[in-house]
Formats: sequence, structure tokens, C-alpha cells
Amino acid sequence: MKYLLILITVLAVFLRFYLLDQIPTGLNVDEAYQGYNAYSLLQTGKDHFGKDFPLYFRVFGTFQSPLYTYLTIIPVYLFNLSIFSTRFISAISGVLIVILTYSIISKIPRKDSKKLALIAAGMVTISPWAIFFSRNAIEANLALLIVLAGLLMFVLSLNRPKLLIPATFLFGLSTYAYQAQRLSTILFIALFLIIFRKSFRSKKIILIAVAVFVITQIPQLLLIGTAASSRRLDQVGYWGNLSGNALQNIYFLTRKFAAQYTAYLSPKNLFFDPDPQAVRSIPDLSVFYSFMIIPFFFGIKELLKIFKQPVIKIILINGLVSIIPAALTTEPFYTMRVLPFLWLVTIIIAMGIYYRFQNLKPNFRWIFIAVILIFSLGLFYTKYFILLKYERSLNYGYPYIELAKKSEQFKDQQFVLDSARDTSYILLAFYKKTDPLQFQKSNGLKDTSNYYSDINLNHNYKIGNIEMRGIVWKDDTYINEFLAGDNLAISPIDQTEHRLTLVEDIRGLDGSLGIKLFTTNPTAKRNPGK
Amino acid sequence: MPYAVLLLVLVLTPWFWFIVKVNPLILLVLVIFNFLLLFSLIKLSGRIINAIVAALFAILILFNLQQGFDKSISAQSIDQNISQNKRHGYYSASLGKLYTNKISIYYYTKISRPFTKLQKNLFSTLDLNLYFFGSSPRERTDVSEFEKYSFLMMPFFLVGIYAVVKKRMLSVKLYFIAAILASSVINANYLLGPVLFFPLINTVITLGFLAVIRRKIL
Repeated sequence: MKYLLILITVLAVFLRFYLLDQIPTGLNVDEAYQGYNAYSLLQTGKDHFGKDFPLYFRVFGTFQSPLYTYLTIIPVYLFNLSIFSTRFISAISGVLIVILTYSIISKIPRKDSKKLALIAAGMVTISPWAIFFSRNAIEANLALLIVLAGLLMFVLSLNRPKLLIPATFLFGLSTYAYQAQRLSTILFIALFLIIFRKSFRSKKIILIAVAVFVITQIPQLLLIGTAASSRRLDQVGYWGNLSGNALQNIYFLTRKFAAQYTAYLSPKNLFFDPDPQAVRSIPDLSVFYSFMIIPFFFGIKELLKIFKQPVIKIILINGLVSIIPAALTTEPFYTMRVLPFLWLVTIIIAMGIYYRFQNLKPNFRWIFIAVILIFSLGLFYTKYFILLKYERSLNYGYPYIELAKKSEQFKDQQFVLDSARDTSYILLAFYKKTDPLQFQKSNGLKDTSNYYSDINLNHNYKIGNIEMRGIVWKDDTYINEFLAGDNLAISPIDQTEHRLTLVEDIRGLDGSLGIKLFTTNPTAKRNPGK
Repeated sequence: MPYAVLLLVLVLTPWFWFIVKVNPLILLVLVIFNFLLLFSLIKLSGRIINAIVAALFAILILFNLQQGFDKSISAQSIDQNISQNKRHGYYSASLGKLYTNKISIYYYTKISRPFTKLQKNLFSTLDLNLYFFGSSPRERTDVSEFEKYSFLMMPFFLVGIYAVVKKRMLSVKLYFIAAILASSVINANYLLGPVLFFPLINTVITLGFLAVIRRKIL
């Protein structure tokens, strides 16, 4: 059994770390913020805006939870600033999630629970969502790791009540890893204490555990009322759409919430239709392989038989509660917000596979496992390592890698990148490994006292020899420099009118246009007749 | 009592009134079939009834296949062709001989796309939001969506599902499997929606409603 777990862990390491710096090709903007802020903190003790060790990291128009960034300081210190070091914490979280899955499921009080736990760990290892999110520098995966560690403590606390204290501490900590946890942890702890109150004879333990949770929340409570605390919900909530009388509003809100919640339970979404956002999904592959719907249905049947088991109750509550924050937002099927739920579905699938597997002859069991493994990994390889690499290269800012290289190649010349629609300054700062001190001087906040409340966006940045701003045609075309932007920023008419020379169409790996790079021609511009 | 509840469920569902407008005859068959289905589930016996239910279900499947068969399963649009050719290039570059052999090419060009379309049709029916929320929040651009049931009926539906699983109602499970298999070849854009599920969902809601009123599973 131990060797099988080691084998599964090795597979998990491989699937999470193999070509981690190359696929996805580049970084999405959120990942770049994590990496560059960690780099900035390591070098200067301040984030890229110049704020000393913030509690929330201000990013473009919103705020990021801090834990991922702070932990990323370690890999950035060890491996320098790179795509690998930025994704390292998420990838290692993904491996630890597999081990924690085994630990939690093996606590189900059944004689075959260790075997079920192995299948569950195996399913988490190969599930598309688990691999995908472990290969992106996202806070939600780290939050899931902490939540699972907390769940293990909650499970163990039923026999050893003192463990309730580390359990609530870990849940408190998870709120610093991902914002959605701020609501779901409170709901979970409340439900846990109501349902399992009889397991805790000493009320003192409960009081201490609750106090520990409250203490972990104090730093966040101090920011209540600031944009850092509420900006994300303001941006994604549907409360602003209220109009009409109270009854209509209640009907609208109830229906909207129910629709959003149900979307996460929909087999169509879970097994076929990927998350609509390109940076959160794999082409043509949802969070689970479509064949998994069969063991999922079998798993539900098994779950109903044993759902009164405390361990099952705990993981069910946690999974179902974790959908609530996501259902309070407008974005449909936002998979990153519900990782604890996806983990629960994986356990249900594992149950379905395991109990069907019991009906097979021993020799067939291995064949059955081999078929699932080969089919799943083959499908994953073609969709993720091939299709995603090509088709999502624009979403992961691949053209900025090329633009950063160009700007290094022509170090002595100035570049202007149109910023009318482009907010990707952080990608350039990341790829050019811009000195954080220099970045702060050129682009940082002059006054950081309003750091958590001021959400005004700056559209102009200077990153080494690249300026990000709107192109000023009457000035820029009379200076020798590079102009960059998409087709709307620099149209073919602009090109002719301003005598620009096309240097390169910087394209994604699928051939789609990313950035057009031109040089100006001041002489021709001044003498249009010649 | 169960039949009165079913009747209530029927008249309260917007889907019922939608089908009335489009094809009253098929609605009549669906309603008769629905009552017979409920009857066969409650009585749990009667070969003749079961045979009639099976025969009516077969007729419904044939009618749906005739009306809504997805002719695009084996066809490809220009956009799909372009996308397939591009992907062909990615696979060749990444997999080499593993992809550029006859079997893989045959699978990719002849099997993969139709298989995906069958899956698309099949999974489009396995979506609670399709029935209770007019597909909100993920409305499909190529389908005219309409709310088939009030979302207030969903809790009864979920209780009904629980009842079906608990009571091991084999006929409901067989019905479900047959309906989803048939749905895989029926166009997701079919005007009446996935009507094969109409009697099944009504029945499950009825079972859920009865379980709630009687505080025990039927």
C-alpha cells in the first residue's frame, strides 16, 4: 500500500512539474503579479507599488490575497524570478493535496478505507482540474491545500478534541490564501460545530478554537470598509442589478443564486463544457474527463449509503459550502472559486470506481486501472500539452516574452507600447526582470497611505526602455523609436499615414496576431513628399 | 393523490404550455405516457402496463429521432474544418509518428469530431440549468432557450432523485439511460427541447413532492 502511494505521488510530481516553465506558454497577468511582487519584496521589502509588506496586494483594479505571494519569495530566492519559481508553490501544493487526500479518506472508519483512499489519491493525481490549477500560479490551489489540512484536523478532532484548535487556525489561514475562503470557512466552522457539538464535551476547547479563528481574522477585520476588503465582491457580485420592489428583488436574488449554484452541480459543466474563461480552462476538456460521469453516478449511489459517516459528512459540507461564495458572483462556472467542491466530486468519482472495481476479478482490476490511466493521461496530454500550448499562448501573454526580448535586443532605443486596452505592464516587468527599486521609482505610488482604498488605475508605466501609454501621434512619430500595439491601436491607415515600418508581427504559437511592432520614420514623416 | 400531483406539476410547468402551442398531439402522447409511467412505478407490477409504457416510449423516441435527428453529426462547418486542420498541424508537430499513422489520422478525421458532437448532444441534456433556469447562467448562443420548469420545483426534483436512487427504481434508471442515449443523436437545438425527459422529470418532481408531503419516500 505504501509503495502504491509513493508511486502515485511520483506520478503527481511528474504531472505537476513536467515542463512547468514552458506549458502554459507564458504567464497570465495574475501569475505575473504573484511572481513580480514576491521578487520585489525579496529585493526591497516592498511590493511593486512601493508598499511595505502589504496585507492585500494591490493589482490592476483589485486586490490579491497575500499568502501565495509571500510564500513565493522562497522559490524566487532559490531559483531566481522565473515562470518555474512563480508556479512552484502551486505545483508543490498540488502534490501535497494528493497526499492529504489519502490521509483524509483513509480516516473513513471502514476496513477497506485505505484502498479507497489510494483510488481517491490516484483520481486527484490525474484529474484535469487538479493538474491544471497546480500548473498555474493561483492562490486557490494553495487555499485548497490549507483547507484539506484543516479538514484532516477537523476529522481527527472528533476523537482528539484539542485538534479543533489547529483546525480552525488552518481555516483562518486559508482566508489569507484566497478571498472566497472568507465566507466559506465561517459557514463551515458554524455548521461543523452545530452538527458535531456532541463530540466536544469540553466547551472550553470550542471557545478557544473559535477565538483562534477570530484572532486570525483581526488583520482583515481592520481593513473592513476599504476597497481591499470589498472590491472583489463589488466587481463580481450581482447585487448592483437590484431594482423594483422587495418581493421582486428577493425572487431575482434567489433565482440568480440558485442558478449560479446549480451550474456547479451540472454534469454538463463538470464533464463536458469547460470553464468559459480561456485562462481557467483547457481546450475541449472540462474539469473532469467525460467518461468520469459514469463512476460519478455510481459514486453518488455509494455516497448515499455512507453519508452519515462523520468523515463523509465533513467533506460533503465543506464541498457544498465552498460553492456559496462562487454562487454569489455573476461569472458562470468559475471553476477556480470552487476547488474544494471539485475535490469532493473527485472523491465521489473515486468511490464509484472503487466499488465497481470490487466486482471485478483481481486480474481485471489491474487492466481496469491501466485502461483508465492510459486513456486519461493520453487525453490530458493531447489537450493540455499540445492544444493548450498552442491555442492559449495569447492568453498567457506569449507575445510579451518576445516583446521583452526585442526590447533587450535594442536596449538603446525607446519602445512605446499602446496602453489603451492593454494592462499587461506587469508581464513586461516580469520578463525583463526589471529592478523593483527602479520600477517603484518610475511607477510606484507617491503616497501609499491610501494603498487599500484608492483603486484609481494608472495606465502609464515605464519599464526599462519600454513606455506603456497611449501613442501620441503628433509627437511619437517624429522621434526614432519603436511603436507597439494591436491592430486597433495601430491600424493599417495609421501605418501609412505616419510612415511606420513594420518590424514584426508578434504572434501567438497558433499564429494569431498579438502585437504589431513598428519603427517610426521621422525623416519621411517630416518630408511627406519625398 | 399521486395523479393529482402529477396533473398539478404538468399544468404548472411552462414546458407543458410551450409544447401545447407547438404540437398538441405529441403533448397528448407525452401526458398519457407520463400517467402510465407513474402508474407503473407506484404499482410496481403489471406486465401489460410496463409493455404499454415501453411501447409508448419507443414511439416517442422514434418521433423525436424523426423530428430532431442531428444531421450535423457527420458534417463539418468551414470554421470547424479550419480548426481541425490547424490542430492536425499541432498534433503532427508534437507527436510525430505517433500521430501521423493511418489509425490516428483516421480516428482524428473520421471518429473524433462526430464523437464529440454526440457527446455535446448528450451532455446538453444533463444540465439542471437547462430545465430550471433556461440554461442561465450559461445560455447557448445557437439555441433558443426557454425556462422549462419554475426553479421553485427544483427542490422537489432533487428529493425525487433521492427517492429514485433509494428505492432502486430500475425502470426509471433504464428510462434515463435510454433517453440520454437517444438524446445524443438529437440536435441540441431541437425546437421542443429534450422532450424525452419531459415525462421523467415530471414523474421525479411528483415523487419528490409526495415524499415531502408524506415525509417518507414513496
